[in-house]
Amino acid sequence: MGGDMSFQAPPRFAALLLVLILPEREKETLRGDLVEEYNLVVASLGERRARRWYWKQMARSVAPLLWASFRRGDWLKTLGAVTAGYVIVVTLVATGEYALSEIFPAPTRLYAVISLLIGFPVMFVAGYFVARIRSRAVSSFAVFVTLMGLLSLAVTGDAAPLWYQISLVLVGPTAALLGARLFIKNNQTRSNGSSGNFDQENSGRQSNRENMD
Amino acid sequence: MAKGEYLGEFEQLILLALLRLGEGAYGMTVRREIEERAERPVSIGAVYATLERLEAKGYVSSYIGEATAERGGRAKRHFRLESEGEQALRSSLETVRKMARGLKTKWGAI
Repeated sequence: MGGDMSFQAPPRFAALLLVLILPEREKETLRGDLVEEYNLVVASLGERRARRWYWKQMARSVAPLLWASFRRGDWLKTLGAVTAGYVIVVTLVATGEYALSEIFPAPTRLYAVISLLIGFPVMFVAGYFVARIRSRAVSSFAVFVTLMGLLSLAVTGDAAPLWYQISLVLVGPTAALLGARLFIKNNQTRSNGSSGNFDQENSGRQSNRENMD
Repeated sequence: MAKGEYLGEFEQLILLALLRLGEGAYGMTVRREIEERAERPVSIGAVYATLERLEAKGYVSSYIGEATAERGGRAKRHFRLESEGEQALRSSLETVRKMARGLKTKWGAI
């Protein structure tokens, strides 16, 4: 092995794709293998060639890992979560649009603004829900929402103003990702807190008692 | 051997690599072993996907090892060849040997 053994982190972006398709079980071990070998290649061939090697590994690994994921049935679960999330979106948006059309018989600028304002919390809730049923489906859901936004633009064409079209594409995935992030954060806090809950509760009770005294 | 339990070529290579590496083999060492001995490019993704399939068949088992600094603090998954895997490998290689035995082409013996 020899060479410079100081730790070098491989290209971060290249690993992102793997993170999206790897099952939870392999995330750490496979990435660890890649990092370890990347450092060996850096030591023997230099950083530039090691980066090329790393990207090649990524590119060649995607197809077999996707196929393995397909065989495992992961895709079906992700598809189910994305579909469920989008059903929520369609239901809530349709309800909101119906209510809006009762108030505004003809589309106006205010109508468009309110429609976007409704869209944000709807996507936020949907992102939260998707993360709750399957956290690995969040990125797929965000991509799907973006694609649907683009499709909607293609269909409406010039009928809607440009600011509305751009907002429509940006608001959906952003809100969905924020909703998912909230769930993941809450979940982490809950799991971290479960071990220290007892102490926290006791110290809380104690300080309450002190306050009362 | 029941239908569906035959080993593919890459599965054979993976099992042979596990046999060669013995205790403590893991994804990276398996990949390097095949690449060096078989002299063909192998991706870590293909190694893991195949190991997962072999594990599901009961030919291979795995356990989590230690996390080390050169892996960025990530743990290793060690793989071990099980007796069913060894049997399957032996049977698969024997089949190839039987088919090749005594064969001669115009380019020579196989």
